[in-house]
Amino acid sequence: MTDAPQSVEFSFKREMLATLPSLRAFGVSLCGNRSNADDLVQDTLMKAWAKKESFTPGTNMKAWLFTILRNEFYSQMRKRGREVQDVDGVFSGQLATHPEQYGSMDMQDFKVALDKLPSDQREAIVLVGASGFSYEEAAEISGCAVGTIKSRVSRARVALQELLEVSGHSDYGPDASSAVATSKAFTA
Amino acid sequence: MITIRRQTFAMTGFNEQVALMPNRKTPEAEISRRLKSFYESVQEEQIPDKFLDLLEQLDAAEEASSRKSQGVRENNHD
Repeated sequence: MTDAPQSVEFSFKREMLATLPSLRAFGVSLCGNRSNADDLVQDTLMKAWAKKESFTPGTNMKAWLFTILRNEFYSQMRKRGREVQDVDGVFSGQLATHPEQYGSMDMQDFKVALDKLPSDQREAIVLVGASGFSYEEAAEISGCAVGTIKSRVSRARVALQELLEVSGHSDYGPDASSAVATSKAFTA
Repeated sequence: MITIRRQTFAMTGFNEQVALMPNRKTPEAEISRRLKSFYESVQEEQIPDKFLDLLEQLDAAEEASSRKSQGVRENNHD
């Protein structure tokens, strides 16, 4: 028979471990590179461990950890004296001049575009579109209203479409010919 | 099968219907697909050992300090 404190402890660590891949992906999305993201994840894990008494077992550990990471990211940005709100994307545009060589060209292009978004929009579209959070959960993580998250997500979508020149009908990529074939098949 | 398709379409709006069609790219679906594939590729990378080491260290440090403060409790064997 295991005593209660030990089993709570065990599941806390186990849940943290289970969330790590997604937490790290969120960190890479926010920071733009793996090296800063890994430092941020490490700080997040230490913060989370130190305040684990404030975590209510049975509630959403993933959302709790994402909130800590997100707050830590902005607090570190402030400490470094950088603008928190990079409205014009100028900063991140400059920082994104050396994309990491991960994934396909298609993915690298996408990453460069994502890094050009203002951080509030990037955060919103990643939380809702990739991390699997609802608008309500994302609003809680980001500490803002649901409507704010919705508008950030839609602005992020428009910005990414423009940056990546994704249009509904004519996409001149390697897929252009197959897209034409598909649309023909649909109209036939 | 036809019934299932009809139900699916009945429950969703036009944009969702278009997004569900394979190979039919709307700008929205294309952005979603690329975002997910980027995120998933990072998720699938191996977790750096330092995170696992860190959690083990935190765990061990805490166990040691709680033993100090509470006295050694009877340890159970698995």
